[in-house]
Amino acid sequence: MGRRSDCCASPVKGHGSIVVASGGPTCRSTLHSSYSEPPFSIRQCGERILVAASAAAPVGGDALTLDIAVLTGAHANIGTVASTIVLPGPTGAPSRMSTRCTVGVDAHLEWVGEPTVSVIGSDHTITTTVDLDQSATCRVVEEVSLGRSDELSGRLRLVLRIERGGRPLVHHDETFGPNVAGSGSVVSVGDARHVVSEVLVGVDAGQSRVTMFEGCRVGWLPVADDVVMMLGVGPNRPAVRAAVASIRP
Amino acid sequence: MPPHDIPHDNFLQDSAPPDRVGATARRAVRVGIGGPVGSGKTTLVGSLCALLRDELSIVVVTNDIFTSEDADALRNAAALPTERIVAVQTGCCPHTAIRDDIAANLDAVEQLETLHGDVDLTLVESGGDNLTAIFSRGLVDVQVFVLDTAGGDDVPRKGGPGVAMADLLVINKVDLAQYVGSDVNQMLSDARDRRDGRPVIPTSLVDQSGAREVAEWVVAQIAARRQ
Amino acid sequence: MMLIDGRFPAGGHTNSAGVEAAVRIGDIRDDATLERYLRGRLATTGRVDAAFCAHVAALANPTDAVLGVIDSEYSARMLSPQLRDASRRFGRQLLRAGSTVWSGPIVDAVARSQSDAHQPVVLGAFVAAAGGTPDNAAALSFHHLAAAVTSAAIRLLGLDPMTVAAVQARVGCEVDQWMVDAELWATSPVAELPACGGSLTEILAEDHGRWDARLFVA
Repeated sequence: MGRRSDCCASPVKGHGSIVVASGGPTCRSTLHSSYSEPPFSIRQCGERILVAASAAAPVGGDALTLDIAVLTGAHANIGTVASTIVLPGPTGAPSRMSTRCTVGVDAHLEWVGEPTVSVIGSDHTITTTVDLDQSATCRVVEEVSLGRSDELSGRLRLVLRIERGGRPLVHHDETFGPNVAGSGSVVSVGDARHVVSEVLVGVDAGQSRVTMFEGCRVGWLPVADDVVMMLGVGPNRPAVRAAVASIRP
Repeated sequence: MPPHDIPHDNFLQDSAPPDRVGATARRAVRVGIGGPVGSGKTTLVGSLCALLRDELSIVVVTNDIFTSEDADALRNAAALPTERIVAVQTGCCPHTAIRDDIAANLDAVEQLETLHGDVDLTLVESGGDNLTAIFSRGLVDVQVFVLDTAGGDDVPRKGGPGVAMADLLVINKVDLAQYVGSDVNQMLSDARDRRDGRPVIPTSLVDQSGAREVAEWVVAQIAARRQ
Repeated sequence: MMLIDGRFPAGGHTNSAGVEAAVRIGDIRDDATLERYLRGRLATTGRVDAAFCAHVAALANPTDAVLGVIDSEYSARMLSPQLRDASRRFGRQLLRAGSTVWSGPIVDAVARSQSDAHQPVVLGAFVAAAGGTPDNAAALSFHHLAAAVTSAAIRLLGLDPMTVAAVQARVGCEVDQWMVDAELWATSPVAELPACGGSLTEILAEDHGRWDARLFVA
């Protein structure tokens, strides 16, 4: 594994896995097993399972994968400990983080990561796929900050695909950054610096709603009777979080 | 019957696009109402609905730039329930939507007629446009062109496809003619000269009964097509 | 090709492809901001539409199940309910207009879809029925979007149609580079077709769909 001070260090190809099982009706979230190579460090903290970075990653060239399995009847509440800062690294090569989730019969996945911060010069792709059993539900929240304070962002691509019973519910692939086609326009996120997306499966979706809230734009977009994609863009994290909170039922 | 017991075929039938019904097979007679901005198209539509709603099943497709106030006004004037009135966006081109590319209007007309099933009369109101706008025969069976005395009494003399070719020409606001210096008799005679014997009706739509003669013409059109 | 003609009566003139909303909030103001918008839109929803259109154009006689998968894959890429409704409406209008000209097993298959087929699916079916290639289909799809964006901007802002034509030509040259993907789109699994989009594209489209007094459907 890379010694990051060495400019010739090879990129990190880290892998982690989390298996959550139901421990019966009173304890539906038990870390059944986990496997973690650096930079992943996986711990159960009360009801939550947290992924901590044990090394500075990702940086340019890194390829990280995380597999999450939620077994029959289990409720998994998984998150990260801290924001992920994406750095260009010595080579500026692209980096990627792929998370593959499977959620079994009557199981629920709550995947709420802390924001990913795209730093100028980086080129990072985050791919998240969720395979739900027909009876499974989930809440998947992704947050990105486009650049540190007063800096431009790097290039950041978010790919999210959620299937239920083998049928696609949501497939959204969005790239942010100053050199992306349409950057700065409303095809992308305008001049927004913080973006939140949240998919809810297994809720009463109701009617769509759109609000403008303190410089933020937020949409509650039903994609099925019980599936919603919530999107929010705005100048900073507190404003977007407040706007997202305002549109929830 | 619980939803999962509904035979699959029923779903297919329910949601399949309706076969395009030829003008001969379909029940509803489609009447286009065109004319310049402010000539009284919306008022005429409201009056026709109010006069005819007890004897006919009516739906309305309007191409006017449509606000919820417009919808309320039309609903109040016509006493038509909301689900019988649909607004169609014309992409800034009202004449395109009734003549060159009728897809959006035809879609709305067919959806409304399918939804209500028993429709006798479909009124398609164009957005206010110039004197050259006419309805495509693919969209309506007959068309009414509405002028008004306040728009200038030389308009019938200028002619144009709307004035010359519409199945019925309505010259509205005859009650205002004296205030705007328009000569109603001149307008009527100029119009008749251009129209090869097709009818011209002067109206004042201050109250809904002013449209009675137009309503009788519409009823006659329906009767003629039912024979 | 009649399908490429802006006068083909399929209701395309009522689609602004988000331009009406972008003009209202000042995002498109002039030729430069129009060019930025057009480039971004072609790179996102434009690629998705072109890919699905090319994919369908390569099908000869698809089963209902195949079209069902295509429908759910395309729907999953369109998050705004208003956009999905508009896409099905434009598909229905195109099907009605095109069925008077082209026919074939693929058109029949699309016409008996359970829900009204999306616009790129119908367009791809007509390209196939007319003997066109996936390449033709992708080009046509990009052209439809570019025409919708530019003509709406001309009508809403009164921009000079000559300079707008130059914008369209310039951006169109860049789009030509993506055409090499058409063969790939034709053969790859539907799940792997592009899913590029923008958050504000979806949010603003949903908002626009309930405006009072809008001039365009979408």
